[in-house]
Amino acid sequence: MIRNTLILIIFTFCLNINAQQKVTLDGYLNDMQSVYHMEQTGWLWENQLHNRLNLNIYPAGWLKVSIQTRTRLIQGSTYSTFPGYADMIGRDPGWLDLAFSAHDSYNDDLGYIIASKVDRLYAEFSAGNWVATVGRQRINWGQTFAWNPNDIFNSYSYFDVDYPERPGSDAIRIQYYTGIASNIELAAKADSAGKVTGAGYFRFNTMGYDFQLLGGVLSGSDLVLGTGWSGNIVNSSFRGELSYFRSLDNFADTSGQLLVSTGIDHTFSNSLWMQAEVLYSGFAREHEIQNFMQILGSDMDVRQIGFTKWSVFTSLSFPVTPLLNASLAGIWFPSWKGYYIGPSVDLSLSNNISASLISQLFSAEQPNPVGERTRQTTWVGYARIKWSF
Amino acid sequence: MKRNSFLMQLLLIVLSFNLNGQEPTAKQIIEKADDKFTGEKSSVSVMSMTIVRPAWERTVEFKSWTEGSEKSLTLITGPASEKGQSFLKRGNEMWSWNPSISRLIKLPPSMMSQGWMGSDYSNDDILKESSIVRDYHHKIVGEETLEGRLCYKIRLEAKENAAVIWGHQVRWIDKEDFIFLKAEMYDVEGYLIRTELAGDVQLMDGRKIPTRIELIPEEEEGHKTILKIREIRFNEDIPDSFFSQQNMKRVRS
Repeated sequence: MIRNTLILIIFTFCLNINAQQKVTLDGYLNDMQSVYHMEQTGWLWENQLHNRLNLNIYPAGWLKVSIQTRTRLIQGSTYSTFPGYADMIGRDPGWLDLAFSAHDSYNDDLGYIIASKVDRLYAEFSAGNWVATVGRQRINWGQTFAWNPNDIFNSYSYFDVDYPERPGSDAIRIQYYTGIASNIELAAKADSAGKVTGAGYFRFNTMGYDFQLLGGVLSGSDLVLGTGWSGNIVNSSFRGELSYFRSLDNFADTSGQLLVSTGIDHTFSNSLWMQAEVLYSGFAREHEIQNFMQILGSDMDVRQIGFTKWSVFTSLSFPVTPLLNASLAGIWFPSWKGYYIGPSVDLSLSNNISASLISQLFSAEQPNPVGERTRQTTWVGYARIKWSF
Repeated sequence: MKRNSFLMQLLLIVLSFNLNGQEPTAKQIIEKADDKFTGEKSSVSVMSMTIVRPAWERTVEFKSWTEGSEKSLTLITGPASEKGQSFLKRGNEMWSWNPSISRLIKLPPSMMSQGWMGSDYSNDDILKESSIVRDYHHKIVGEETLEGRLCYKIRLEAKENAAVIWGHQVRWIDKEDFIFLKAEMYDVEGYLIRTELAGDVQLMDGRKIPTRIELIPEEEEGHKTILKIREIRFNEDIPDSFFSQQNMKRVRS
């Protein structure tokens, strides 16, 4: 009897293995050559070899463990030009320090940096409608595309073209699914300074719209209340996010600030995809940013996603052939008399290899250290080849 | 249980008597063949779709769960760069989930009317919004042998007010197993727009179905889309909660 049971158990176990893999490993390897041009520095270049590994382990139906790493080998003249560049690349903004990096001495003109980070490290437990996730994870509450005022956990620069996954948060998150398209969540994270962000979230679907409401504390200092939606007007998507922030320390003496993004997107019958989005930021910080490099690839507090009071974004994306996709994005920063233009093309070379050419032109009347406003123009070009596995 | 299957057999015998006793009408043939694919309560399938162009080929692999025409969940299993993305459809609402950026996106209705993932398939083919049974007049126009199988050749003429994209179709249906083996789609002016070829008839989940379907657009030389059914099961009980946002984030092949 016992032996039969044992055989049955082993048999079931083997069946399970056959049905679904217990361990999966995937990722990509890419090489990206970047060229920068700024008035202050002239021409700069950089080459980056970049590997991503996603290891997922499924010990049981109710448990998933994920470990994901990002490793980069960077070499170029950017390294010696920007003081502290290697430290910026190598640093871990999370509560845990899961970054490793090494670099040349700064005297070297063509120095290298090797930097590796674990940007996901979590266990996910499921039971019925409950899901609990503990560890470094991405909590993405975004509804719109260019700017996400509701994405209070993992805010990151829009301009970084080579890191779609974004860093994770060291967090605990509990989700309860109340229906097919609705759930309640509680999430809390701590950053490297030990500041805690915690919030409750409710998502529901009604009248063809997804709606969300959230409320909590941002970085231990601000009350945050937000709402977001995704739906459609006739055949176009209509999405938006609104967040209200107010300092908890000076709650009585200060008024709150708003961050609002809203936009529409539409796919035409010839597959042309068009987007338009507007951001209003009560935290406009025209005077803090002196050049484009500051905002190019960095972790951001959600309050910093807007640089000027208003920003207007539009983009077009078109599959010229199923292999070649061309897109063009533009942003207008009225109070900077500034603009950003970002054309790109992506070419599929085989089922698993793709190549991209990306250009970023940024020009604005930004304040110099003395406070005078001068026009600064920065151009960055990227050529990338990527192998996914 | 026993009695049930006995009843079913009886019913089948009665039905086949009916069919034998008098030749089926063109409409009955189309209905019977159509039921093979769309008349099922639910299906779970593993498929691949290859887009073929004169100079290149690309393949997408996916697993799909459907129940009626209202609910479906599709998980992309290849290529590597797209793997893990899932699509949930409930009624006329649709969402996508991208695990690498942990982002759930509600898709606009305009997205659903596109050529499906860059292939020669249109939205209408996938969502089956029009019906070859309801929206056409049917007429048997002959018999031909395809892949060694004797077929009815049936002409489908679009009904005047039907919201269909074709003016007429000609379909070849296997006389024995009622399988669509070939179809030609013509526009309103009567020009051939595309041809569908079905083959590799195999027994899957107890029924004979073509496991390879080719779509060949007429105007473009060397273009086609090949759909391969690697596995298919019908009428499994799929709980309603399977077609949910919670599950689209968790589902695995």
